[in-house]
Amino acid sequence: MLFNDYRFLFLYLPLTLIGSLLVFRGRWREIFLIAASFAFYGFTGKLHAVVLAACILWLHLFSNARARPTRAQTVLAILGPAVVLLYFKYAAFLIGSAAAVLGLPAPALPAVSDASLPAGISFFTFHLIAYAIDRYRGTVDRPQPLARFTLFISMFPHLVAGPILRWRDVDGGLAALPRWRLTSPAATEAVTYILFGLALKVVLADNLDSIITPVTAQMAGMAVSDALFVIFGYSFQIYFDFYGYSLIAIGLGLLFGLRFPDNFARPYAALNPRDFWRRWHITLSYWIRDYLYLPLGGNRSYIRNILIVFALCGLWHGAGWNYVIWGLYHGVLVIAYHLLRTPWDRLPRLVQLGLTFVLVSAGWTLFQFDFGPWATFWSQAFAGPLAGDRIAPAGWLLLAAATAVTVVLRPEAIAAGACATAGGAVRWGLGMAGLVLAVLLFLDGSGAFIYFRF
Amino acid sequence: MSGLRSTDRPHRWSRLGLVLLVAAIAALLLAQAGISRWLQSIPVFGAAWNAERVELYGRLAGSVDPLIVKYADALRHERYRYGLFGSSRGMGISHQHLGLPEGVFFNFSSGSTGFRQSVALIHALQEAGRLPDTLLVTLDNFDIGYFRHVEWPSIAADPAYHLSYMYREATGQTDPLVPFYALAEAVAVSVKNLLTSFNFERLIAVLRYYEGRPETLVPNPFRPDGSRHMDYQGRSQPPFISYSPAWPSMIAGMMADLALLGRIAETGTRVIIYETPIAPHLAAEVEARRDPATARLRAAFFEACGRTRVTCVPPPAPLPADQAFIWTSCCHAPPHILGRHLAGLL
Repeated sequence: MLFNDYRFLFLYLPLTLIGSLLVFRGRWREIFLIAASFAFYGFTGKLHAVVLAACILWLHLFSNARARPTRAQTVLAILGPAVVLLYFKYAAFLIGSAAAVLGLPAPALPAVSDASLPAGISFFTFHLIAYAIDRYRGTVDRPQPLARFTLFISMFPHLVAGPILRWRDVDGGLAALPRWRLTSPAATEAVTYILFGLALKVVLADNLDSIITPVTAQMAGMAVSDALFVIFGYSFQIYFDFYGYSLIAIGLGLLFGLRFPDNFARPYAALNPRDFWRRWHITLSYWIRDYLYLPLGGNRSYIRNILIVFALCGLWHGAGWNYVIWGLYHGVLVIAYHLLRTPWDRLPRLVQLGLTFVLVSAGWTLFQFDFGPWATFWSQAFAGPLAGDRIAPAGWLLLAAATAVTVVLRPEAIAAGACATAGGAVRWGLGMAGLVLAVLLFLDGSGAFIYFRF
Repeated sequence: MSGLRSTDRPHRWSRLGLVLLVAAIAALLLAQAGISRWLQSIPVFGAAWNAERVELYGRLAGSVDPLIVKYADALRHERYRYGLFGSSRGMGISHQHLGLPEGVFFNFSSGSTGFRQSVALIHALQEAGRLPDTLLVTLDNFDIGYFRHVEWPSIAADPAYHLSYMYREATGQTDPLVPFYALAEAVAVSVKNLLTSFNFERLIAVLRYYEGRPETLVPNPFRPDGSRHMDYQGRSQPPFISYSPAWPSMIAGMMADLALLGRIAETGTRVIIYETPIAPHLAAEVEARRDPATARLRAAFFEACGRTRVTCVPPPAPLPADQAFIWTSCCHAPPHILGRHLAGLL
């Protein structure tokens, strides 16, 4: 189920809120939310819910239920979800790649296809792995009740596309959940996050997509201006798509008393490639740092470790060589910045910002296209006339609006203090009503979130 | 971070903000409901027909409204002799395709609806005393599981209608989740139909209309007889499956709908249910993909039909000459081909 689906917004969410806040109390609230979360997830496929339940039970058995899991138990606990991830997401890719090298036909694997890939499998696998390692390290010092652990992994707001949580992020919220009451301050914060998230998705990301897709579907004869629109338009599209999703997830968490960590910190204001990764998909960056980069030795073998973690970061996003290359591209950018830091930092800030944005945007094309179309795009991008007519003036206006929103908008700040005064509350109420209208105007036909497929 | 930190201080006036937000949303919905009611009171088809106004109306009034508008038109008009009921697959059929004179035929079809919706509309027309003498009812192909939800009357307008259908399904078939899905879909569709009235494309269309550019509104205008001009020229060959099977086990409701049509047929109304034809070059492939559950449903439906006074017609055998024409999907026949088939049934 998608957050921008009518069934979610006007049926599932109200019923879940009513059930959680008004009907069920105490431990029953946990049970109800687990059932609701599995119903949410099972909507995309019954097999997906079974896979999720099996992974949770496996980790509970070999890690969570143990007083102090050993190294062997932790490895075994991680292996379960890792094998599931490997099978569903990477087996066809790896076997296909090997078969291509050997010149053999790739065999079909049972229950493996784009349609059968459990939504967000990469996200919940990372939750599970982090939890198992934290149990081994003692960061989570005691076993958690199975219901609470299950809810931690399966809670629907973060289940399919993050933010990627650690136990410590929601420990207190989950403990307080049986007694949680939704207050008006929490409700205003939650509504702010949810409405801004929806608006960024359905007004900006989806409309950018509707302009970009026809251009990329027919690349021959593309003008330079069209190509530039595709590059920078997609850069904003993926930002608003994923940032919008993250805001909605955070807002939904707040409705149930859980405060998720922020996932974005104005990434296109980054001054260098390393700064970008401190601002983009923050919870993934810190996961990789804590559970991959530092165990590999961290800065002791900087270049080697950066290349490894960025290649794996790319592979985490998708089972395709284009994603691996995209990850390595960012690894090279980070290393290049590391080597050229002194002259780079002497550049005017606006130049640093512009260079970072252009380099990041160029990289998104690897995310956007498979290799074949990617090569076609770049071979056509600057071969045509300078100006084209495929992008209507409204498209350029939308791009300008997207730029302005990126620079100006701070939903987190609005959520944190908009209703501090009576005047602020009036502005907030009317502003949010305006967002409701904007969302309703564009909700019909809104597409899936890009990160749902990861 | 642990749990929700206190945010009381910066949100002292949050209750006022929430009250204002709810009030503003209520005002928006009330305004929209008022505009919709006003629009629905305007005659559209028949003698009052005007292409630009109909198109503008269609864009303003949302996806559900063709049904409401056509029903309202039938109430104003003297009883039609022939009526066609179905989805977008039959919307292109005009009286000329059927070889009928003007004024005796009305096309009650509405896009994205299904057999159940047709029966609901027929039932409403019967109760209003406006049921045509001859009913052509579409039974869409198995690629949509023979079933789609009822958009009108909405669950809010007539919950008993939907609940009775749910009860029949719950007691008449095997998958206990199916009635829940149907209810969820019916509620979601009702809400969607209310809210899709806020549609940016329609807003732009209205603004353009008042700006003096109504020509942008009439690419596929309705005709006075309720049918719609379908321009198939220049379209490429589409993929052949339009929808995935939704709930092929909705057999209890299907049988209840058939029984209702059977009772109507016993009063002297001629009822013809026809299964929509499949594009000739895709027929074999679609047949090979037939889902077993929907195949059983289809067989049971036609068998039950034989016990009533309703005429049920399977799709016609593909004609070689038809292969020259472009179909917009596996099952959206060019109107002149479908019209020829239907004229033969009359």
